[in-house]
Amino acid sequence: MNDKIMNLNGLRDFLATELKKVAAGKITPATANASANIAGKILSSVKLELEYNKLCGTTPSIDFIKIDETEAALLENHEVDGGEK
Amino acid sequence: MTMRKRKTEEEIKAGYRKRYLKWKELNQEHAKEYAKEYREKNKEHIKQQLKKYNILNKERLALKKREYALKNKDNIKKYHKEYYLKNKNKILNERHDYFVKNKSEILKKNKELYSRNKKIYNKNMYENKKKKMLADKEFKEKIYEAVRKYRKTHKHIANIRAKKRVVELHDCYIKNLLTKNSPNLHFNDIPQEFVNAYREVIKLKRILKRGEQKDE
Repeated sequence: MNDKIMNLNGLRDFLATELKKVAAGKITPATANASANIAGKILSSVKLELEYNKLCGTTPSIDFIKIDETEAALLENHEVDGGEK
Repeated sequence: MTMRKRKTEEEIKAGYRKRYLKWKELNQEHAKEYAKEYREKNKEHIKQQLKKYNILNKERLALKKREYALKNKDNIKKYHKEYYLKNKNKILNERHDYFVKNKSEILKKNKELYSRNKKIYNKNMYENKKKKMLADKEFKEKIYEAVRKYRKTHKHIANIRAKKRVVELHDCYIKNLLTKNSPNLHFNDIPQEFVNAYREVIKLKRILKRGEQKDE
């Protein structure tokens, strides 16, 4: 994984590139499956933190969720294709 | 011989003013009557003078007005409310008459305003409706009942919509997946970025599943 994956949008970008690579046949399905599983685990840990904050009644301040405004604007303009429709 | 100094015009005016104020204090009632008579006699002259004064000191007066309005905001609101309640019928009739007279112009202006701020109006309308709905419990229950009834009678349409949500990976579907096994989490607690990231994970998993099925 890159050093870029420090927040949710970075993870999203990484998964999108992985998707493209699998479709092009550059990566074996096994490696793609492993990365998908890891991403799922990361997200489940974030979800757990969200739940913990909800139970404690505190506002969540998770760095992984925080995103810069400029980064968000860039992502809004550049939507990632792929997936089932 | 010492020469007496001549008074300036301003000093003479100030002397007159002093004498007038002294006289006013001693003869208050008479002064009031005198002022009334003077006002009635020189009505037009006073109007013209006031107009001139307002034109000359336009900016200063506007600033003063603004300052006063900011200081006495609550009092002004109270006064306007009281005035409206007292003269409600009169005001409404006047408004109606004005509308009837200038109907076409008013409608044109309203259309232009709406077209300019369409997005804001629609957003505000939607938010206001939502607020009303959330505040009124009876209304909320009515709507929920209507939705339940509709789902029962139009099951096939509801099914088609649900399938569409699953295929297109709608936010609603992903949030439902995330909150299924955690009763403390609500749809509002999950940030949009989290949903987007989870959507990518599901996309990847689906593509891998499709590949496996083809191989088999």
